[in-house]
Amino acid sequence: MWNVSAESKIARFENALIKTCEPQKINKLLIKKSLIELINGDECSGKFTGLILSQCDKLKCNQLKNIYLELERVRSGSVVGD
Amino acid sequence: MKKIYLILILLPLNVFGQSTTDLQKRLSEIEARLDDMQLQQAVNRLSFSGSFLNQYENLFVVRKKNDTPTSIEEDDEDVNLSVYFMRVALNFDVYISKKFSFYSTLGMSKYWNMDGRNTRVGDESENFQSLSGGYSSEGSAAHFDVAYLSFNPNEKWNFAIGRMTTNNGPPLNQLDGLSRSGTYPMMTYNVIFDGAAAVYNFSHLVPKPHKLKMRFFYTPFLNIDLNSKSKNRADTVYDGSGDVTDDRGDRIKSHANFMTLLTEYSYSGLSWLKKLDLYHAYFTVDGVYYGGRQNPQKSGIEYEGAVANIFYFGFNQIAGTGLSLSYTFSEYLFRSALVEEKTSSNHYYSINYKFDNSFNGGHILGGEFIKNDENKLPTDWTTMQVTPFYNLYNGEGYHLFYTIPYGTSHIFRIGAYKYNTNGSSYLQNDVTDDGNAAYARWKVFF
Repeated sequence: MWNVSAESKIARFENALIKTCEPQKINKLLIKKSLIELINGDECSGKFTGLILSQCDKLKCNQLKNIYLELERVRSGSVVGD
Repeated sequence: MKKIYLILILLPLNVFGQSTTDLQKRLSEIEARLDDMQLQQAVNRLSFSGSFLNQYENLFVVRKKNDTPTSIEEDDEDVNLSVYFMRVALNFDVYISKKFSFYSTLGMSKYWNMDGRNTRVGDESENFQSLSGGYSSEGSAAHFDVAYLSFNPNEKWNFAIGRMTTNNGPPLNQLDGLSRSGTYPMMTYNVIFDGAAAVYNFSHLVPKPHKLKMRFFYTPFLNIDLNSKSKNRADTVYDGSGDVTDDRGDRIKSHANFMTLLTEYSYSGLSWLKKLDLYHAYFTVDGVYYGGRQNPQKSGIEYEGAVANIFYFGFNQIAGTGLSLSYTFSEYLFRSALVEEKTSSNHYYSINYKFDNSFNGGHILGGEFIKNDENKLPTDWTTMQVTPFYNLYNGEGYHLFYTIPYGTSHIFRIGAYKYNTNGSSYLQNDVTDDGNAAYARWKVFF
C-alpha cells in the first residue's frame, strides 16, 4: 500500500550500498530481493543478502544491518535539501 | 518483456493438457492483475511512519541565591522532579511528483496524566511557542512539527517551504546510533523553524571524496495582534512578576528577519577516518520583540537582535572502529532590550563508541560535555528532558549514556547528567544551580 515509502527505502538502501561497494557490482533486482529478506527478518542469512555480501568484500554483515536499521528509524525528509 | 516472461512461465502448463485458449485467458488475467498492482502503486502516494517514546527522568537540583543584589525576584527553592513523559510522532509524507514531495509530522508530548501546561507565557514571545511545537509538553493536543514542501528541480538545487526539520541535528542522532536526522547542527538552534530554504549541492564541482553543500534559510519571526489578525500587535510592558503594567500605545513591527546560511563540507578520503564533517552556520536575526523584556522606564519599543557563528567538527568512525566524536563552537553577538551589546562563546563535545561484537553489537556508550558562558542564548526547545542541559549558562555539565537497540524497531537508552549553572546578567538571574539527573527512555519506531 505504501509504495512511496517502499520506493524511497529501495533508493536509500541502494545509495547506501553504492557508497560502500562498486555500483556495477550490485544488481538492482538483487538489492530489492535483499531488502525483502531484511524486512522479513532474515538478516544476513538470506539468500540474496548473502549474494550481496559475497559480491562486495568491503561490506560486512553488521554494516548491512546498520544500513537497514537506519532505513527503518530515520525518515526521508529529515534533512532539508537532502 | 513482461509477456515473454509470462509465456516462459506458463508454457510448461500446456504440456499438461491446457489449450492455447486457456493459456491466453490466464495470461490476460495475470497481466490485468499486474496492471492493477502498478496502478495501485501509482495512485497511493502516501507514506506513513512514526515513533513513540516513553521516558522516566529524575532531576534533583540544589539551588542557592548569590549575594549580588538584582531587581528580579528569584526562585531559590531546591528542585526534586520525578517525571514520566511521552511523545508520539506520526509522519505522513506525500510523493506529489518526481520533483515535488510533501513531508509532515504530527507530534504530541506530555507528562503522564497532566494537560494544560502553559509554556513561556508572559516570559518570552509567542515566537518561542512556535519553535517548540509538539515538543513543548503542553498536553495531549497534537501540533504539526513538520509540514514542508520540497521542490527538487535537478541534482544541484533543492527548495523547501513550510515548517521544516531544523531540529534534532548533528550530533544528537549519534546518541541513538542513527544517521543525521535534523538539518541545523544541534548547538546552532534545536528548534522548529517555519520559512523557506534554498539548497545548492556543489558535488559536481568538487572531486569525489569531497562534498560541499550550502543551505540558506529565511525564517522570519512574525508578530500579529493576538486578537485581530488585521492589526499590528500592541506593545505591552510587564513588571517583574509577569503582569502587564502598561500599554505604551506603540505597535510592533510585523516581522523580524531571521536568516541562516549553513555551509557543509565532508571528506571521506582519509584512511584513518570514515568521514570528516566540517559545518559552519551563520545566522543573523534583527527586530525581535519580547514583551517580557521591555524596559518600562523607556518610552519606545526596543527590539533585539543577534549574529552568530557556529562551527561543527565531526569525526565519524575513527581508525576503522565505532568511535565517533564531535566538537561544536558557538559564538554570538547580540543586542538585548535590557542589557547592552553582549558576546558569548560556548563549547560542546560529544563522543560515542558503537560496539561491533557478538556480545553487545550495536550498543552505544557515550558522553557529552558542555561549557557555556554567562551570556549563552537559550537555543534548545525540542529536547525532551526536564534537565536544561543544552541551555545551561555560566557553567558546565556532562552527560553519560548507554544505548541499546533492539530489533529494527526499538531503542532503549539510560543516561545521567551532572551540571552547574551560575548567575547571568543577560538572563537577569542570580541563582546557582547544582543539578543531577538520571533517565531511562524507550523509543519505538513504526
